[in-house]
Amino acid sequence: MDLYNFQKMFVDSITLKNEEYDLVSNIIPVGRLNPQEALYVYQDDYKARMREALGANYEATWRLMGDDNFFDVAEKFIFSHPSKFSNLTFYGDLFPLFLKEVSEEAHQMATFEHAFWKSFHAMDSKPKTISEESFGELSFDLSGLTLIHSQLRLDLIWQYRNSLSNELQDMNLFHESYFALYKREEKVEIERLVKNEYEILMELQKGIRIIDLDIGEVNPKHWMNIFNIIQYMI
Amino acid sequence: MFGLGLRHTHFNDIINRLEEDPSSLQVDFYEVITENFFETNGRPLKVLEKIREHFPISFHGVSMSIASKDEIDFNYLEKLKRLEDRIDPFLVSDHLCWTGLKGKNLHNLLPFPYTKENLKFIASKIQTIQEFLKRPLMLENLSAYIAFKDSIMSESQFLQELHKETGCKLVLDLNNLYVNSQNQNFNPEKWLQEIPSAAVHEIHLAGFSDMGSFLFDTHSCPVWDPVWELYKNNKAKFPEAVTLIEWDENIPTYEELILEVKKAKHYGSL
Repeated sequence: MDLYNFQKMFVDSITLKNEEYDLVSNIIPVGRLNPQEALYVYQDDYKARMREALGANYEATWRLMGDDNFFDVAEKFIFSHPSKFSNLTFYGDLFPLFLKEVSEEAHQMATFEHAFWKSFHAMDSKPKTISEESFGELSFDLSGLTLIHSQLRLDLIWQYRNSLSNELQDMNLFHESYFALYKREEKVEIERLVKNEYEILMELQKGIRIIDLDIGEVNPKHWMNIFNIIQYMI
Repeated sequence: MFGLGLRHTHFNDIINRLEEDPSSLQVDFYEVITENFFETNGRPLKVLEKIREHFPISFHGVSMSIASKDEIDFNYLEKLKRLEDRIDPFLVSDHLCWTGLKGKNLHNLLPFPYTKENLKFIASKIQTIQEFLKRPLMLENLSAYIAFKDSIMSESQFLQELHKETGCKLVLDLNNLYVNSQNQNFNPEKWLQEIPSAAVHEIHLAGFSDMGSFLFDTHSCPVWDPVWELYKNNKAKFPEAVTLIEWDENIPTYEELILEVKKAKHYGSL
């Protein structure tokens, strides 16, 4: 069997769980394994490795969904989304989208976590000075900012994702919340916004200038919060 | 030189010790999984740069996939080169294996048949990569749970031929060798005799798990005694080689890892 055919069959046997009879007849198993069991070593290892990567990248989503649900969905994702990354750390970039079909809350939590890690690996950001006169005329590149609207306190689930105690169970997590995640200096900032701030930032993220915003009166404190975020993205 | 595989679990401990007393780290170098630093501009890279101010660094890749039938991934090599320019590693290595095909990465170090055709194909890829990187590539022997009816030579013979044809260097993983020797029933000492001494520039030591029907290379425990025996008996044959302790699952405290490094120093000097 030539190298290409062997490798194609092997990959398919792992990622599509194909029964590859030619492959089995060409290999010599090790130890006290038979050929099929030897292939299972690789199949099981693949599943465990990818599941571990998803679990590491989406710890809070896992906590929210519980073991059984998370493992079930993770397995479906793994076998429909083979990794294209050279680094396993980045596996699962499409997992938040995949979860949209499963549960809106899980989708939001995964989006939150994905944004956190994206910011974690981003370059540090420094605040820029903007004159008050030019502020309204500027349009901003807010691609480093993730905005999330949820019915859950995603920040608390994130904060207590690894907690072994029952603190999380005792909290009221059902609270309409607006979040901004971005890199501030060298730290990932998770900020809770008020609805008004969230809506303005959503508009600015579309490239709309402040002077072109179709909004009513805004509390100066909210403008200050918005400015505190976008000064790191100019 | 005796080193440790750098894992993020120990970042805080290492940074604290660097500030207080770098000699308390008790290693001569650190080895990083290269790909972990390709796509980050955040804390991991900063920690690595900080460590680099005090210690030599070696690069150890897991996704070059040199034995894949795919074309060489120059995008991958560009990233490797950029990181090399930034960190200036004293060694750059990967594995004699493939990890995927047609853009699907299985994130495992996979074996292939040791045939003349595959030798020629891989040697040609190694030469291209060495020209690109402007340095000899180092390749590690791997643990395998399947062998092939098509193979006409052993892994050690294949490595020897690759070294002869391309000048590539070798990372000798004694844990992988021991695991294979038990699983495939061959004599590891004889295997080592087939490896050219001058080609080996690094020795890896790690722990395996006994699964009952086979040994599994898990890097999840201390180095086992028979692997230390192999190291003790053979370290002197590879005078160029630095020694590295790897631990990737159930990672213990830094102090516990240092006990393994101390053991290596002791056995390596016998």
